Amino acid sequence: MRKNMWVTVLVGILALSVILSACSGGSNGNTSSGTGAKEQTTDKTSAQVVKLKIWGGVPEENGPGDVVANWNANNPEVQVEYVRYVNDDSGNTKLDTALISQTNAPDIFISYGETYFNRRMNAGMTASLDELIQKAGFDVDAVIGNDNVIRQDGQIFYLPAMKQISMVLFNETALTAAGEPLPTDWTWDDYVALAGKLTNNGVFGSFIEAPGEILPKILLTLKQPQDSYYDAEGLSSFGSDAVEKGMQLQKQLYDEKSMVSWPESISSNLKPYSELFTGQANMILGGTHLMRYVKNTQEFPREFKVAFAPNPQYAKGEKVNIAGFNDLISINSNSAHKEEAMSFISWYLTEGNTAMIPGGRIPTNKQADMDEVVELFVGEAEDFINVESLKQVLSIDYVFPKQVKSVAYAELTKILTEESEKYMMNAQSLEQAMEKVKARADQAIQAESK
Amino acid sequence: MKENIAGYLFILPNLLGVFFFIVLPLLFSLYLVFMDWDYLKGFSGLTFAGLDNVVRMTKDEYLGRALVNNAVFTAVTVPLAMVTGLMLAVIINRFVYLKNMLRTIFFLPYVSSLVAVSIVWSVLYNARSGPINSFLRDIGISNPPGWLASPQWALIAIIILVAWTYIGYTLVLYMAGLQGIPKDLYEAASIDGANRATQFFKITVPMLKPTSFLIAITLIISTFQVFAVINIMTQGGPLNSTMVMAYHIYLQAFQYYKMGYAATLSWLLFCMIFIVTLVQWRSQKKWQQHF
Amino acid sequence: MTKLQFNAMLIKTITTSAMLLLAVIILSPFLWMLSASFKIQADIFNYPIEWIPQELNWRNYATVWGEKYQFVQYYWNTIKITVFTVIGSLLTSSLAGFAFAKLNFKGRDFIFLLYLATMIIPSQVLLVPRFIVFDYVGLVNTHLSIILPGIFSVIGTFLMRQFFLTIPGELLEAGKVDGAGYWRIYWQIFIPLAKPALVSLLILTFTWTWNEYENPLIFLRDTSLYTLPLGLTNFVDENGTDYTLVMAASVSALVPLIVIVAFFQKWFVEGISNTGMK
Repeated sequence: MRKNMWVTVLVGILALSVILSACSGGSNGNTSSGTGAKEQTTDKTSAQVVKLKIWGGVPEENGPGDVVANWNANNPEVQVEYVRYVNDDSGNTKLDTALISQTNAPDIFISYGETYFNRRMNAGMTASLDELIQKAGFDVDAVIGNDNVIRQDGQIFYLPAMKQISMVLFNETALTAAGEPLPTDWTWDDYVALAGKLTNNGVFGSFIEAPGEILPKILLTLKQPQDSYYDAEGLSSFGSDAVEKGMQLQKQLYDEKSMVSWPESISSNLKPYSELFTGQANMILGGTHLMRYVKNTQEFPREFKVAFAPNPQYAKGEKVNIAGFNDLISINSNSAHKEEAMSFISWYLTEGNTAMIPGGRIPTNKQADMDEVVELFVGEAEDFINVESLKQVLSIDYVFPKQVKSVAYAELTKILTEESEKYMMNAQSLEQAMEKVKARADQAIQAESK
Repeated sequence: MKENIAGYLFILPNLLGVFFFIVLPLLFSLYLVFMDWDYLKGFSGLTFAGLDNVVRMTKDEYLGRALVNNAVFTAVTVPLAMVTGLMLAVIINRFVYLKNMLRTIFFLPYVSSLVAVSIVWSVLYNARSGPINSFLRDIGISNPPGWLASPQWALIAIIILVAWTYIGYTLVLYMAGLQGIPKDLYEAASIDGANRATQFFKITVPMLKPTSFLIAITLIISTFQVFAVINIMTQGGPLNSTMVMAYHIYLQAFQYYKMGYAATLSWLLFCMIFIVTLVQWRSQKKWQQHF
Repeated sequence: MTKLQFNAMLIKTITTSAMLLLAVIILSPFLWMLSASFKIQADIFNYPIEWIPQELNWRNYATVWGEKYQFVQYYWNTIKITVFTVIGSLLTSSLAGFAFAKLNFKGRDFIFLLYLATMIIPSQVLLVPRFIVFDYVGLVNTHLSIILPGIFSVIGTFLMRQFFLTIPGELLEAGKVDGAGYWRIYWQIFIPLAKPALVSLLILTFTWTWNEYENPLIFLRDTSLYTLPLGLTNFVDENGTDYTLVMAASVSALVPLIVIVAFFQKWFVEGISNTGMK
């Protein structure tokens, strides 16, 4: 009798754990454990459908959904699934851990910006693409341009899918009311002055998203587009007067109250597009990636037109654009289907990514027709957009920044942000900030290159 | 003998779990203290580091801030929640109709999801136009605090919110404790001519000592581990004014992937909690009766 | 005499009113959240605060519960994880608690002391190694990674032991005399007596698991596996400054629990206070 009871207990516990594992698999069959099982079967029988998983940061309804549908309809043997991650710190962590996990890892992933990409490349997560590119017959030079892809030790680890153009967006009504013309060739001094003129009735003249976009970093990029963080000796360039000027100008924006304070913009998680469209700011620093909000008059009803100007320069007459090639596509070095992944990527880069244009992403493809791009950007919102100014901004032949070196890159960004923050919030003087930013950055570079 | 076997079998399921999910990770974590590990590189990124991680703590500029903030946070939040809870408990216990309803209302914040509550409060705290500051301006404070946007106020804002959630907990425990105090103690005291205040300090407070001790221990342990509020509301900012240990550990482990250093920091946190608990234990021998 | 009674009543009424006022203040964040969730973005910060919106705008809720977000899925995930964790921890805790309280076996007190010591280990110490091990065995990104550690609760064992200590040992002896085995004594004599303690543990485990944030944040990746707190933060990440939407999502995440607590308030209050009594 007693023995039976013990058997019951053990069986009970066993049963419980079986139920548990069954259930945790059951309810998410459409994603995790389900595909895990499928992957195994595809390995054995190659005739079966290959499943590719892509991780990207753009919401499905802004393009990726169409891309995937277009591909899947024409490629029954290679089916693609899109997983969206939020492109912030914790979202990128989720992607990182997914990449190294044993099951259900992405095959293709898109990194935004060098910082996240470098971290993945240095950890060996990105497969070398050269051979795959050759096999797939993809012509990098013809489609994207050899100069626009940065190689590491002569190898390619990513291909850029989007050309982003930085620009300044205006509330045209406010600009006209202030009696100011739309700037075309201007500097950051002009920007700060204009921000003052556009500030009135509790509406700020300017919004720049902190801490992602800060003037010290922007001015440094403008002055030195190639490897902006490093000087000729391989140490940091943070002693540059561009950094100092950037800090000063940004502080001036706060001090003159032409921009919402640094900490408030962070703690309220303010975004440039909503500041402009909800009438909190008359001028924002943005880029082509905001086009999907610009034409979304449903969600952001407004009575004014949006006008566009190129981003201000370090000195008049220059044509540096602080954005550039982005949406860096890589293949997971652990993927079991690298060739299929590459054939998807080559399709995406030549024609697939046109479905991303309405969402505000200009293809890197040189053949892309800019008139068509503008048309898709504007959509049905031409009454709310100064189309001429948009065309003008997009037609300029820009110089784009290029970051080949990557020593302690992420840490340098962090140092620049932290020391700037302390200055912006009056926790240290400009001299202190300049001193510390250079010293810390040099130290970080030396520590890393040891 | 039979009882031996039965005993082991009864504790076995739990013991196995505790072993696999607490003891093993604990040992692994101790091992990591002496290792340097960039997690993204997999097991090949694991190298012996000796005491590097410990040395690194001495140069960690966030650590000092985190320790101070943790200390301030616990030292203010716990007494604040306890005193408020005690006073409310005394009032509700004796001088009020609708006892149960009131108790439940005060209790609601405690059982609510801290995540949702933090999200709501971060909008309430909105410095420019949030309801709290609109109200403050309305009653004549022309320059209300910046709350989460201000290095001086952010930690205070978080303390207020967390204390708000804990009051329900302390209130309920104190009300239960009050039930356990014999009524005749108060009757005897009032015959002796003791007024309400004297009764409160001479009878209520001493009789509630075991309850207070339990509350203090549980709240100290949990306030030392504060994480969700910080991660949702401030991410340690502005200017690191809300940087705390748990968040620092999280950043090191899951943003920078320094697993060894994160483990080292977590052991520092462990030691701190251990020492505080030990001190309290010593100072309160009565607690031992409960075992 | 009647005057005294009247005075007492008067005082009681005044303090009750004061307490009710305080209760409203305590509840005001929830009330504000509720009213904001029905507003349009332009009205949300209007002052004086419009506690009752001019018109009820249901669009926020339509978005929150619409196709794009998976709140139904979040609820289902949370319920599933909570149910399994609660059942599991009631079972293992009551078994172990019974043994620690009522059975004499070698090393009992030593093992129990070790148990107690683990109670003060901060979860952060275990987080990193658990993540590494779970990742290695493929448990990351499954609900088991949340359920399993939750089942083996040291605090639960401690509470159950404390309760079983208060039940006289004679019951055990009497059971033995009647020829019942330990399992039957546990299941048929002690468990029915332990209902208050079990309820208490149930309530505690329920609230902890339901509201848990840090473990799901680290262990779960796919949004389809997210629990309510995670789903809510994910929603906020995507909708940032659209506060009316965010408030509608918060209401959706909070109100069902609040209703449950209000409905079973006696259980909840007793559940929590039992842990402090003895």
